[in-house]
Amino acid sequence: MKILNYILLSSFLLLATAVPAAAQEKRDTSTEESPLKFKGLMLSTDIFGYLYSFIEDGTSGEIALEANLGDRFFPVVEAGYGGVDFTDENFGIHYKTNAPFFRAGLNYNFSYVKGKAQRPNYVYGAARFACSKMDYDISSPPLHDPVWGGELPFSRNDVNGFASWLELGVGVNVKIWKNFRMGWCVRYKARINVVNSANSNVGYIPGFGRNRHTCFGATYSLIYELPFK
Amino acid sequence: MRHISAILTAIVLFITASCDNGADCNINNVAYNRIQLYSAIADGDTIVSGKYSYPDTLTVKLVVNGNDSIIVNRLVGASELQLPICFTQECDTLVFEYSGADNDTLYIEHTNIPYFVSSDCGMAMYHHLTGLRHTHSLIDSAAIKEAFINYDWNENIKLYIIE
Repeated sequence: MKILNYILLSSFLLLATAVPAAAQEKRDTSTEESPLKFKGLMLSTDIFGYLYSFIEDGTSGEIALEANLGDRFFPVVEAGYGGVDFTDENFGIHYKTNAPFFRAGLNYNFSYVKGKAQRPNYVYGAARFACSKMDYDISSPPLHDPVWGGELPFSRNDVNGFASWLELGVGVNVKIWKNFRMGWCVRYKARINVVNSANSNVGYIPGFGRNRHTCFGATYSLIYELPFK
Repeated sequence: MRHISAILTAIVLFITASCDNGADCNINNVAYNRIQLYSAIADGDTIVSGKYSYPDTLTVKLVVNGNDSIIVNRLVGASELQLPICFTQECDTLVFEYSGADNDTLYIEHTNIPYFVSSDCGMAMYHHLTGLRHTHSLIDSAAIKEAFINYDWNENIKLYIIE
């Protein structure tokens, strides 16, 4: 009988210890981190666009909202406002535009190591689709007819244009202090399409730069990690 | 660190090499009206035509404000002509002087399209053909093939010449 009691008691104790262990194991399995687990939001603003206006025509400002999915994928939307007001030295053409632009895409953390604690600083690759719809004013000195003689003035206001483009780039994102981070990103931009008017090509695309097939740009961002997850 | 430097150098080189302003600027901002000559031979009720070279000398004059200005001078074997279009008028008058036949006058009606190409290339002047009228000395008929005149090498007008 003693032996039977001992067996029952030991079985109960074993069960009592085994059930929580199994439950713990089950809980561990259930809390295993999803690769796309939402881990926070980052809000940033670019200061490179302001600084760039000192060396090149055109200025822009933008803000971005970035989600952290598993420290690996960072879907991001960016909205900005840019413009230019220049008079070409060679042709005397005056061009003015101010318009919003939008980008959406993804950053991918190249520094991500699966199964290890992630470092606060990382190098990432960036891909964006971007577009801008703009109105612009353009005027030029009168066009001189070299054969027949005579001149024709040219001036158009509130001309509509649209452009879309892709951006690919690399950047770094570094933790500075508490929730504050900084980062830069160099981007190669390739125009997808541009809608011109009956009398002009689009001269400047906010968020892209001068209307060319390709160009490059950069951002230098001040980033704040929003204090909720 | 060395890898990062190499990557950054490669990126800068790639960007420098691949930035393309797309500029293919025309040296002067004149878009020419390209006229191709065709023969017009009556074969019963049908007209048989083919590309044609005028065998004698051909002179083409622009009439600007009542004054003649020679644009093609005594050309022999002319098969196609490149003629400028006026920026400020909407009807150009061309006089065709043939050796051995009466003159023809060709009126080309068009609109003018000043066009901003880019900050690298500046402005261009394009045109859109809207109509043709002519006398009937040697010109049998004329037709617009490509109405939009820009820097492209399009054939804009077909001019049928009576052999």
